[in-house]
Amino acid sequence: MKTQFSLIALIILMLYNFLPLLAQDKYEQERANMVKWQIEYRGIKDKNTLDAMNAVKRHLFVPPGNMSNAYNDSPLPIGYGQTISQPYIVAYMTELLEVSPGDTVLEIGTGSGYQAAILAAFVNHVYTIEIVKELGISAKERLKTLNYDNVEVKVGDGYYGWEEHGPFDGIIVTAASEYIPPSLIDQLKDGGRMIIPVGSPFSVQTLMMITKKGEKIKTTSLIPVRFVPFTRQK
Amino acid sequence: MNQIGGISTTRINIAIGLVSTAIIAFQLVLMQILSYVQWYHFAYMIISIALLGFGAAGTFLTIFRERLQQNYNWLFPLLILLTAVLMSIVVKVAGLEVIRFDTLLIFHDYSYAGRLLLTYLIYFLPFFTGALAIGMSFLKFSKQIGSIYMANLLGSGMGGIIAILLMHLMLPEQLPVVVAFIALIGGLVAYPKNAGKLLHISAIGSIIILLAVYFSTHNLVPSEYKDISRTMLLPEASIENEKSTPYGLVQVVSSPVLRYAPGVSLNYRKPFPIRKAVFNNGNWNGNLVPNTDQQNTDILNYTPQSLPYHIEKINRVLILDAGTGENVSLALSNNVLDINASEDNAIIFGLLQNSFRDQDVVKLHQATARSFLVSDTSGYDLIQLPVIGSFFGNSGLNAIEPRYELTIEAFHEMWDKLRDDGMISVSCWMDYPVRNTYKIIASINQLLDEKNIDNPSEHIVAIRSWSAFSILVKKTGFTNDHGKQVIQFCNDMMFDPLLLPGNNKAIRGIHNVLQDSSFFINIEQLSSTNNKEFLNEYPFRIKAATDDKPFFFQNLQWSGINQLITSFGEGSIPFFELGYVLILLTFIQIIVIAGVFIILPLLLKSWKSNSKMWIIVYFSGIGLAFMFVEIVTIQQFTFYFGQPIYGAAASISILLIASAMGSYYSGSLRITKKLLLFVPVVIAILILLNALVLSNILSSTMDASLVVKIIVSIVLIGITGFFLGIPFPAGIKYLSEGKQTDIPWAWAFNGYFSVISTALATIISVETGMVWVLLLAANTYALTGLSSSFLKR
Repeated sequence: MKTQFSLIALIILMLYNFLPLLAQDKYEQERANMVKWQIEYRGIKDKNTLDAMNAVKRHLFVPPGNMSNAYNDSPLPIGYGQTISQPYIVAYMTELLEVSPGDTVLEIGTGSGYQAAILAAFVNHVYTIEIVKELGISAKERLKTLNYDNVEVKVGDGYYGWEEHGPFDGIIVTAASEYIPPSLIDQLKDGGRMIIPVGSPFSVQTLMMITKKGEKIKTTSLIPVRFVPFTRQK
Repeated sequence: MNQIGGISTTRINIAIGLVSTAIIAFQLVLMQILSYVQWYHFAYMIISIALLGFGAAGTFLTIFRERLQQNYNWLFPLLILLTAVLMSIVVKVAGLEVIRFDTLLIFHDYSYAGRLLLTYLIYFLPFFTGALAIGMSFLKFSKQIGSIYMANLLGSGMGGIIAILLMHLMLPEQLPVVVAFIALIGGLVAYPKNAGKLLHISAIGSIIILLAVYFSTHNLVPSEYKDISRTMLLPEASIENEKSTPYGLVQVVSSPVLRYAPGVSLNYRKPFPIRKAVFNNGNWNGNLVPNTDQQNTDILNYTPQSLPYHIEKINRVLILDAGTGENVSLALSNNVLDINASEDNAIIFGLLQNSFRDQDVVKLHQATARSFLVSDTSGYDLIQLPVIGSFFGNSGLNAIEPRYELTIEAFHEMWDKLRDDGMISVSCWMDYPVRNTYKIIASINQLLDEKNIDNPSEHIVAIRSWSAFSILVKKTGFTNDHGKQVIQFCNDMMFDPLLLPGNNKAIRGIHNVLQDSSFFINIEQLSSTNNKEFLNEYPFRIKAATDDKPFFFQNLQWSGINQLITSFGEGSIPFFELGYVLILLTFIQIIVIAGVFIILPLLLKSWKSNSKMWIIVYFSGIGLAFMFVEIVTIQQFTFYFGQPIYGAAASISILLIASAMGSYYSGSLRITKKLLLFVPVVIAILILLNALVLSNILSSTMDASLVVKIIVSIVLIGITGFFLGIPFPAGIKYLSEGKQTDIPWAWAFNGYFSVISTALATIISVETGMVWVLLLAANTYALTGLSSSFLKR
């Protein structure tokens, strides 16, 4: 009887330790599928971006109640009227930024911290600013817990950028507004790119790219995106 | 005086009048609340829900007729008291976090469709109980239906007026419980002498609940995706001022990081000014622009809408729908000598007056764009419209909000107000896929075509920034010098010329590059003389809006859906035109729900009648067609009065009160087969006359005084309204003289078709125009009259 009891206890203990691994595997598999079918299949080729999307545990950046939807092909609400963008949008913006190891990136609108984590997976340093205090604090804690040591989060007004760490090789503005602050253009390195999504996260968005070459600034409106890059009929 | 179990019929009439007043007022209050916490199109959902309550009550009466009638004495006041309690609490219940739905999440998280359904059901309850009380009385006093129905309609008419008054006095969240008190009084008026313990407890309980709700905290939570919610998250954001009006809840918000630089040029390097923002029903309406600070006005000269001031000296300008005064400020900064501005929202108008009170050159007019254009007789160098659309796109959420200032008729009126060398200026935020920009260009092209302008391309210049598009149309045409000035302005601002007299293909995408050339190809096709094919085949509806179809932001073209699916994928459709898709979704849901609540229970009960076919056709027909007429009347007279809410309230009240008179008159009529044929046919003829001549009469008296307009409305709506009030009570009275068990069936069919007709009328009017809705209504009434041939007796 005693042996049986010990055996059952051992099995329970093993299951207890093994179940999270199963769940972990499940997420790994979901993440791999996400990268393959939502991102790579749709034309994202940049290796750094694909590796980062594979490595960063997206389910840890969504509210607990939405973890099972973390790898769905859609944005998810994270509270305060903000969202964690659809995986494809994150990958598309990351690829468009054309940053590489050794680069420094500024992000305006930390949100959950997911975009910062993706960039931090291969660039030298990410500076990210969140204006909503609650979101900024929780993102800071989350990124610290997950050991993203090369991400610095600040709660504040993104309008001024982060001058002491600039100029930046790339700037991502995740929460678009009706204007583009001059300080952000000033803090963009010569040859650098700024990416801004325009439109509601739950509808059709278009991405805008701002490039700076010397004194010359150019904007490029990219194709509208939702779930897939919308290709206009020829 | 008739006595029913200790209640006189007079008291019953008063109680019915009061509960009817409360029901209509509550309906308008809910429309206002949903416009604030969600978006405008849910107003239509509320009309359907209210009617659903009436339809379902009819079915309930059919099934439980005898038991209800036996207990009328205490059930009638009890139901009214219950209605009062439900009215006071449903908004709070629907606002609970576990139930609250969000428009933007419906197509993303399907559980929100369930929440929407639950919200329907919660809001449905007070309408159901209120309607049940009224319906029981219709049945009980079917021989005096004329006076009972009159009390119902008169009360409903009063409900509209009372709601408007209350909206001036209180914030939206305070209104449901105040309206509930009206119903409570109704319940107490109907209190019988021999009331039992249950009724005593209910009455005391109702009073306690209403008082508790009245003195509790009121809090409406707007969608977290609404502009006001996002703004309130900014550091130190606070609501400085808020005022409720029938136009909506206007709130002024300040924050030290709330900046003002809408679509400003990337070459503007100075700090952006901090400005208070104004929100109407939670939607961003503009920023307050003080006239004293030069820096604030300077920034507007770096926006595309400042183009006219960079190429021409403007002395006299008319700014339509001035909002918080952005374009007034722009005109001031360009030293315009005479600035006229119109704005219809009373509260926003007050803010405008406050901003520009020291500026002698600014003349403000509280009127809609169209009513001001009709009444004003002077000429202008420039007529400027506000920037159309939203930077964030909004997914077409305001799809079914009529925009009469953007119709082709409005452009004609603007053109006629221009001096010989005057210009019209229209700007809009760029939307993707492009719709608004194309629609404006199509409207301008149509205007020039209808004005017989020989070389239209010489009368248009257009530019494009990183975020917006701006077009100018000039009466005398643009010169080469103008073209050079436009190019210079674009170079200074990092904008790109889009349309110029002559060839500008080489310079139209230098600063703001597009990923492919389809936009330019489409613009060329639009601007060609043979653009009909393009207009028809473009997947979105980009033809000019008209007064008959003034829905500027409803662009989904059914014939283009296949093309959209091919280009963008199947799941993408709702996300282009979310507002309109929601209307369609609401329509489908309401057909199903109404079927479940009204028709399905009846199918479980046997119905033996000699007049089945007549009852179905007659009562369904008048349910459908009455609402068709009502919806179109609201739209037409809203435009006529130029004051949306007043127009709606006036038209509803006149229609209901006139119908009440018709209904009362029907009590004195001997109901015969001939009468049941004759009245609907007369109505059909009146509606046809309306469809043919009403818009002309309204146009010709548009600039008349308010008194004249009210007299015209009373005559035009009143005559039809009087006759519209007859068929329902006449039909019920006819049935009451025969087999009374038919009455609830009649009411249920009438209710079902009333429910679906609200959304259906909106959809038909968006798709085909209001005239077609009237024609359908006329045909339906004619058919209804002819159905009397099915009558056996």
